[in-house]
Amino acid sequence: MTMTLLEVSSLRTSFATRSGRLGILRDVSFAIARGETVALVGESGSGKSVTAASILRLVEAAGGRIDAGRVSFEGEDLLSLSPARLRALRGGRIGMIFQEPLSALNPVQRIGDQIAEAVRLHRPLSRRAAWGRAVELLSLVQIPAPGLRARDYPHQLSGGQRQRAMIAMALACDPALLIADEPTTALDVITQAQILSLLAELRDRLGMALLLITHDLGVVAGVADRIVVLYAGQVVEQGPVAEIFAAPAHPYTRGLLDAVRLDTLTPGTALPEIPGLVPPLDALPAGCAFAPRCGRADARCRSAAPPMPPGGARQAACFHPLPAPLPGGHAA
Amino acid sequence: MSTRHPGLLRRLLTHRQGGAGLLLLLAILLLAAAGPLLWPGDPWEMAAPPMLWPGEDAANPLGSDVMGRDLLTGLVSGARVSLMVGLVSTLIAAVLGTLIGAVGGYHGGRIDAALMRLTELFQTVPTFVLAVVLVAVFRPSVATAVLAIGIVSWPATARLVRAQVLSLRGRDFILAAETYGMGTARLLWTQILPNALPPVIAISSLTIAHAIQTEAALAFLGLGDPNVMSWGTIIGGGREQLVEAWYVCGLSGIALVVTVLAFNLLGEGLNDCLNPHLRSQ
Amino acid sequence: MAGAGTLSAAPAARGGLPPLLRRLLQVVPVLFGIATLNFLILQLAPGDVVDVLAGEAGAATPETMAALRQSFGLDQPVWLQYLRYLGQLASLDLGHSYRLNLPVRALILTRLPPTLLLMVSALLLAIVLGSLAGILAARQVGGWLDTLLSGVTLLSYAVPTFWLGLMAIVLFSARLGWLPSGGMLTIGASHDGLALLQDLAAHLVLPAVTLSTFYLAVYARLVRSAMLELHGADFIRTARAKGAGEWRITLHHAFRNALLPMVTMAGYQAASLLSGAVLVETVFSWPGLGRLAYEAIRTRDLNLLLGILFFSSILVVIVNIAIDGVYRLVDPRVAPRARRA
Repeated sequence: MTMTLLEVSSLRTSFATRSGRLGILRDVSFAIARGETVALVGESGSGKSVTAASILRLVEAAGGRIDAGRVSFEGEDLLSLSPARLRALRGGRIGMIFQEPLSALNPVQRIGDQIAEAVRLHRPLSRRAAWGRAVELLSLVQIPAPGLRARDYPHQLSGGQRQRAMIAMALACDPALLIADEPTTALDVITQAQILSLLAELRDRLGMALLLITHDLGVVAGVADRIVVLYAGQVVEQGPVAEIFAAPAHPYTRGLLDAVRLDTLTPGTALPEIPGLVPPLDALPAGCAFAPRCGRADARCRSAAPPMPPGGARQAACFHPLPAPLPGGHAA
Repeated sequence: MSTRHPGLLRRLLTHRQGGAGLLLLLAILLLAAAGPLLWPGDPWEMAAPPMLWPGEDAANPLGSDVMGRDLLTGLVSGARVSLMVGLVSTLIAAVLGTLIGAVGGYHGGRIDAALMRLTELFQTVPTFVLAVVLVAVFRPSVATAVLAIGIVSWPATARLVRAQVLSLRGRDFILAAETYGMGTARLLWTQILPNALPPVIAISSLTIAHAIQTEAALAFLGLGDPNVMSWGTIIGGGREQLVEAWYVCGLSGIALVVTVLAFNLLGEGLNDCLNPHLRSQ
Repeated sequence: MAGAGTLSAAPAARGGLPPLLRRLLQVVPVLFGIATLNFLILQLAPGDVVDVLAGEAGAATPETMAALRQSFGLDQPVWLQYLRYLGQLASLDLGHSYRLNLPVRALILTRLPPTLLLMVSALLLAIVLGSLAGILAARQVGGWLDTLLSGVTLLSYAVPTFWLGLMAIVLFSARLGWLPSGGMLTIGASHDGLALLQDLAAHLVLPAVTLSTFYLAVYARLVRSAMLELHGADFIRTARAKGAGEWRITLHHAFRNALLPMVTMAGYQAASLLSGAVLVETVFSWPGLGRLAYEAIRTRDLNLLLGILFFSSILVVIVNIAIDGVYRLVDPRVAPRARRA
């Protein structure tokens, strides 16, 4: 009975560089159901943030271009929307928060004004009413003395409070989907945990879906329903968190999980190092992008890219997936 | 860390602005140098009927002013004055600024604080008004103009040199020289200044441009040397018949604009060519 | 991030005195420096101090000269003369203009309002039009407006203000007859109310535009590069993700931040703006401080000239303080009431 909220299919995004166009996303597909939390994980440079920015077409202002694919949200194709309709969705049905709350907030405007702006861009409210809504939102994200904090400027808040204010802004119009692009990376460990539990609580309370972009496996374990693993601009594996953690099928996922003890995973556990380097996107190998770092790779892996099998709750793009788990689950 | 730039001229010529500035400047220099040979005569002497328009008489190709003085002769004389005043006053400003900036930056502490206060003072006083006062009090002449312009133009150079010296101070080769027991003056002269010089050269080109403008403005206000025909003098005199003979002001102003433009362009070019690490911006 | 102006190297909030008072106290050494500079010029000038003060060429009678020598204490050591001079300036006594037979301070104060009017109009014009040009140029880098702007900027750095003014008179008042060529009000016309304002505005247009041209170009460049730099800023992306339109992002978010470097720049340029005003007023016979300076040059009224130098330096300091205030308004980060979170 999963109702699909967002469906990204065969998305390709490229950026102009000095040496021509560089494909950052090379065929990304995944879906999010209503109320579901999906974690998008991968090393830096794997295309996580570009995926997030492509959904709302924010890549276009940053010099990127969506070359192919479909992004459908509540039945609408975001890639062919009119500018006005797109603006209505941004901050309306889809909210978004970013990694570095200090630079993501306008330094010369009051927190309350910035939240009220998000409200007024989508709803015909008076200034006063929008300000009231902003204060209400600040208390929703559990900022103490919200009436006072609304009058503060970003530099006057702590890092955690700033991220809460960002969340308040993204929630201004009760979005059906919240995209959180590495929301805890810039914060200290204790604040990370607080922000995560706040996100989880708000998600449950408001019934929204959450797309969590992270390189932090602890975040995934604590909050997400499903996980989508990105490598070099492609989805290599996806499925329910519990199943994948118990038995990764793709050698890359396996490599990520092997180095961390799952039973002690806490937020702040970064992705472990996997031997070898991510291949540069302008010099990808002919076959599987992971083949040069993969212990299981053979001649076939080096000559042809493994396709993602269609359908199913669990998928892995690999010619030599790992065997099913032994009873008793994954042991480190 | 070499200050020699064997390919500087070539780099400058291939630099769009720097090359244009250099060529313009060469043309102006050529005119200023060859002018008296090609069009001999005293710029103050009445050589034609007054207010002869340019092109009316081949003997006075650019016409004559209100007093019948040949405009071309005047413009050539003005070019010599402008270049001379610009160069010498900038030399004064560069020496003053380098000295003040280097001593302050090297010594730090109270000496630096005092010199910085002095620099700030000169940046607070409206410099043109100060130049006016200096020239008026000490009687208008080429020498007072040069001195006054030099005295008001050094703060930018001083700040630049100070910043350079501050950044050079901690470098290894300076520390090494210090350990050898090299004296302060010698250290500044042989180690620090040569390395701080390229940006001074670049900013000096802009200082020349500004000095030329200041000289013209002083002469325009009647504070020029009464024995020397400068562009500002011609414009100031042409004001009397501005509407009937606007070409007098017009042409000398264009000469001024072209010269200042040449130094500005050259300064841009030098800045880019001498500080290659800034070029990417 | 320090405040605007050349004098802002002072230590940040240290408690105790209110900021404005503390700021005013910092002005004292500057005034002291300017007074010293004036005294130095007087001492180094040819002839004795009274010759200079009296405007040479016998503007004052021998009796007044003698009295002046007495009052200035020329028979006393230099340091005493210096203290006396400082004392005079401290009580804002700028001496007497023997040419015009009026106290210098009174002369300057009557000429101040036109100069302020000219400077403020030119500055506003430069800020408004410069911002507009900068914003539009930044929207299409390399477009025709951007190319035009860089050409105009290059030229405006090279064109002397006074010459630009003269050419403007030739074109707009002599040839086209659109605007008056000089003065502040039509002589002989007894306008009142709106007509007076209109007359004033018509006389103001050419001088203000002439004076503003250079700054307009500077601000346009500054806003252009600030806007381009802000283009990739994170908070701009946030605004876009909120659903803000491009114009709203440009004006409400980017430009609001691009104002900061412009305000700083305006602080640095207060002195140069005043210098420019001297020349523009001379060209357009605008009855302000600059025109007074020109008259003082013509009549070799050196004491008046020194008074103008002293007073205009004070004016620059005041403008710097005002601009610091503006900076505090536009950038909340420099406000001292930062709350510890």
